[in-house]
Amino acid sequence: MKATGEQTIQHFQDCCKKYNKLFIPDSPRQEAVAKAIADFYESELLFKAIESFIKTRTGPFLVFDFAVESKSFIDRVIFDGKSESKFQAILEETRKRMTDEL
Amino acid sequence: MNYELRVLNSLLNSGNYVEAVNEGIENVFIEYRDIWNFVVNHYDEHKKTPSKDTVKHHYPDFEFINTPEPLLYYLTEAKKESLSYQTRQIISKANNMLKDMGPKEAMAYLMQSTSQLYKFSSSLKDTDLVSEWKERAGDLRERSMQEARDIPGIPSGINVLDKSFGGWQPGDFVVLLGWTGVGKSFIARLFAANAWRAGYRPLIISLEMNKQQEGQRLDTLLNNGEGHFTNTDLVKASKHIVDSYEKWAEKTFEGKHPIYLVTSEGLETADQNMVQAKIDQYHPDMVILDYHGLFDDASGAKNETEKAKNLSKAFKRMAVKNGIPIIDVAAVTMSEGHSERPPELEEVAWSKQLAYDADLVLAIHREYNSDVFQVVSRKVRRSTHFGFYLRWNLETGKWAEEWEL
Repeated sequence: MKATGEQTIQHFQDCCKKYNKLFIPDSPRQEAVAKAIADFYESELLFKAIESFIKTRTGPFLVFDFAVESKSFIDRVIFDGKSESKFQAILEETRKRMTDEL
Repeated sequence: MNYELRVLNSLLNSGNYVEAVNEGIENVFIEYRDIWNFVVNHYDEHKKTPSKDTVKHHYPDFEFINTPEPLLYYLTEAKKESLSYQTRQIISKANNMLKDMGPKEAMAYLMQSTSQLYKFSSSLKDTDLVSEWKERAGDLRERSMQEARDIPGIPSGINVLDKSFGGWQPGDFVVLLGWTGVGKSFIARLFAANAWRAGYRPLIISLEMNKQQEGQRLDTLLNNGEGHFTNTDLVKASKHIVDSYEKWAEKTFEGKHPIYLVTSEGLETADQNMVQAKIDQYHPDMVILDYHGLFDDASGAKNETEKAKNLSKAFKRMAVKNGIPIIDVAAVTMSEGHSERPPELEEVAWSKQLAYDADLVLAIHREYNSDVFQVVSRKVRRSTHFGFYLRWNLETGKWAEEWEL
C-alpha cells in the first residue's frame, strides 16, 4: 500500500514530536519530495524508515534530508524485518522441539 | 648444540624425513638451522632426504657421526634439550631485565616468552584417530554410565540452552554478542552463577567493572529474587538489609568452592598471556572474559579489527589447549544507533573470525529498560539453532526462561 505525500509529511512531523526533535517546514519543496518517496516506497516500510531516521539522528529535520538517504534506511528496515522473522521462526522451532522432548 | 648434530645425523642416516617433521623436529634447531633449511628445501624439490654426500658437498664442515638408536630417540632428546636451553635463555634475559628495567617489564617478558615456549612444548599432541578408536569407545562407555548427569558439559542453568547445546564443554569458545548496554555482562554472570551453584569454579576476568560492582552483581544474581535484598540496596548500602545480607551471605558462601574474579584494578596489561597466566594460577572449570574489546593483543595488532581477530583466535586456542570452556563477551556498535533486535553475525566488523572460531555465538537484545531479554543462537557448532526469552528482574535477580510474551 502506498501513502500520500500529506500522510508522509504528517508522519514525519509526528515522529519529530514523539522524539522531541525539531521539524523544519520546507514548503513548497517538501510536498513534491514527500509525494515522490510516498509513490516510490510501500507505506509500511517508509513510515518505519522515517521513524528510524528521526530516532537515530539528532536533527533538525527536513523531509528532503530523509529523501536523500531513504534507500539505506529502507534497506535497514527490510533487514530488520527479515531478522525479526528469523528470530520468531527459531523461537517457534525451539518451543516445538522442547515441547516434544517433554 | 650436540643434540642438534645428533638428530640431524640420525635423520640423514635414516632418511625418515616425514616422521621427523610429524614429531616437530623443526622446533629444535638453532645452531644448525641453515642445514635443516637445506634439508627441507631438498625434500620439497626432490621428495627425498638429501644424502650425506650432498650435505657434505654443500656444508664441508658438517660433522658426520654414528647414530645407532632410532630417530625418535634423538628427536625426544633434542626436544628436551632445546626446551631446557630456551628456558634458560628466557630466565637469564628476564633476570637482566629485572635489574635494568624493573619487575613489570621482566614479568611481561616472562609471561609472553613462556607462553610461546609452552605452545612449542605442547604442540605435539597430534593423534591418529583410527588407531585410537578404543579410547573413544571407552570414553563413550564411561560417559554413558554417568546417569546422574543430564548434560555432558557445565550447565548454563537455562534449560533450552543445556538441552540444545549440552552445556559448556571442554574447549568450547562461546561468544555473547549484543549492542552496547543490552545486558550481555549480566547474562555472562548468570552463566557463572549457575555454574557455581552446580559445583563448578568459574573465573571471571572483568575489565569493565571493579571488585565491588562485580560482587554486588553476583550477590543479586545468587539472591535470585528470594527477597533478602535488591541490587539497589547493595549499591546504596541500605542499613535495613545489612543483617539479612550477612546471614544470607554466610549461608550461601561459607565453606563453598571459589568464584575467581580478576578485575583491571592494578593490571598494567590485560592480554591473552595474562588470561593464560590466570588460568594456570587458578585452574578454573570455566572462564568468562568481559569484554573482548577491552583486552590488549600481545601479538601486536595494528588496528582494532586485527586485534579482535587475533584475540578471537587466541581465546579459542586457549579453550582447547586448557580443556575448558571460555565465554567471551563482545559488544557490537553501529555508527548510528542500532536496531531493536539481536544483532546478526554479518553486522559485526570482525564477525567472520568470530564465526570461524566460536562453537556458539549467542546474540542478545533487550529494549531500553525492559526486563525481557531476547536470546538467539547465530552460530551453533553441534546442534540446531535455538532461541528463547529471559524475563529477568535485574533489581531482585529473579529470572525465568519464556517462549511467548
